[in-house]
Amino acid sequence: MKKCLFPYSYLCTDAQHEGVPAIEVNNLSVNYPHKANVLKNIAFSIKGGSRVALIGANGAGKSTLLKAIVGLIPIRSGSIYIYGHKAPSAKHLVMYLPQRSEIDWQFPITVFKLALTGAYIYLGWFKKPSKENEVAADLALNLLGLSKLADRRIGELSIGEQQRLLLARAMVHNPQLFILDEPFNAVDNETQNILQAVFDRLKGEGKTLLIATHGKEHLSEHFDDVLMLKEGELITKGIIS
Amino acid sequence: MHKAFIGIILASINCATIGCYVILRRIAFLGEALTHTLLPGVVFSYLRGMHLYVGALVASLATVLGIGLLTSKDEVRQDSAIGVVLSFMFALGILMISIKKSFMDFGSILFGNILGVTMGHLILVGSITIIVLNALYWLHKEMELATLDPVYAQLIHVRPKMLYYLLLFLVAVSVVSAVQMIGALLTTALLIVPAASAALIARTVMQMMLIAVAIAITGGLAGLYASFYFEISAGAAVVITCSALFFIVFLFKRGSARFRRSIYNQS
Repeated sequence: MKKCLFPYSYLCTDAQHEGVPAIEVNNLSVNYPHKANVLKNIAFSIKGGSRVALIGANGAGKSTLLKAIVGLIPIRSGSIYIYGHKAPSAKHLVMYLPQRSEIDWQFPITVFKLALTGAYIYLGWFKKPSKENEVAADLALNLLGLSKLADRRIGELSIGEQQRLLLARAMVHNPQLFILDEPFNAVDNETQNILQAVFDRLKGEGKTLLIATHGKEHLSEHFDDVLMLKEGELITKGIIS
Repeated sequence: MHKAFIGIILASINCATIGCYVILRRIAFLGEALTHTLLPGVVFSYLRGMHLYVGALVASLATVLGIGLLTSKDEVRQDSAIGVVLSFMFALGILMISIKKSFMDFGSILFGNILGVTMGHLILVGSITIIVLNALYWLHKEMELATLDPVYAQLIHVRPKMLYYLLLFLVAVSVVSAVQMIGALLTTALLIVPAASAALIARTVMQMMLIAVAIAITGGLAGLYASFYFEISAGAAVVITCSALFFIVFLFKRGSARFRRSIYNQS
């Protein structure tokens, strides 16, 4: 983990992350302005280096839980720790891939440049990306099968290619914890296979993955643990055979 | 005349560059609002014997802050907030003019007076151009990321909200700098049209800014010549030239897309 000379956040430091749970959530409750108890007293712990599925029907609270973990929405009560740090101070250790719609895909930027934005967290204000950052972006694009599309505008990509590009950016960011919101949604088989291969590689590198998914097939094959949400409550933790 | 040329070039540079982010952020309506809401500030300055641009800048900044506050908790949509603030401020300006009982005193603000540009104006516009270009250069990657992916920008503490307010401030000062050249009513066009033209063909934000500046300067100089030789409104001539360039770029893009499709179909 590199130190930032002029970090975006003073909290960007060489934080230790070994030997502590990747995520520890205690009695978490979340409300929306128009809806109470979107999440109710959620509590769980995820071991570092594991791959965990977050499953549940539409509206169960999966996306809300993921957004709460990364600090994108305020919580009503409870606490969240990422590698032993309170969630806001561990932003550099975690990468969140939302469902695609958050990005402006008509923005004039190339595939390579978008992947490169994953390095910004290490640069801070005023600094330009270095050759090292560009090499990391090239490697990530190569791994995700996007090298030939590096000079294309992001709006020219298919849905599957866009999803792969977001994961390429995440790999340039190189966090310890990947939080992915339905990465397999509406993507083709080729993309699913590539994503699965990359997730296997990341697990091999000791990274932790929390993946929200609809699919209940092959859970025990691909995941070490499962969290099941129903109507904002955690009803199951453990592999479903 | 040479002061007018320098003035229009400087105003074109800062309006066209910041106009790119106005287009990318989809806040063209805000640019329109700023050119109208500076009116009460100008009138107030006139009535108090102050420099008109002090009032214009204060009114623009008040507009930006008002819109920012109304939309900060997402209770009011941005276009609604802009409409409300624009209506209020413009009506306030008209009210103040009606109290003064003279509409002609503010003609140069509404319609511009580029041939009346002084060295003081050039220093003001030049300073604003330096501020805008420096901000866009040093904060290029952050502004780009905050526009492209505000969620990721927020995650890594790039502070997209702060950058949004900074952008609004830069738009406000750019608008004020251009008002003297082509007038409040047409400054929106210098902000929007060159950037919209560039957006049709640029592949990156940097390309977009360079193309927008080229179009703005071309339109500005051509409009100035036209106003001199044909004795017509400089502001209108500048905007019509920029708009003509937009349509040329639009037709070129359509034509080249059709040409590429026909080549593909033949092969």
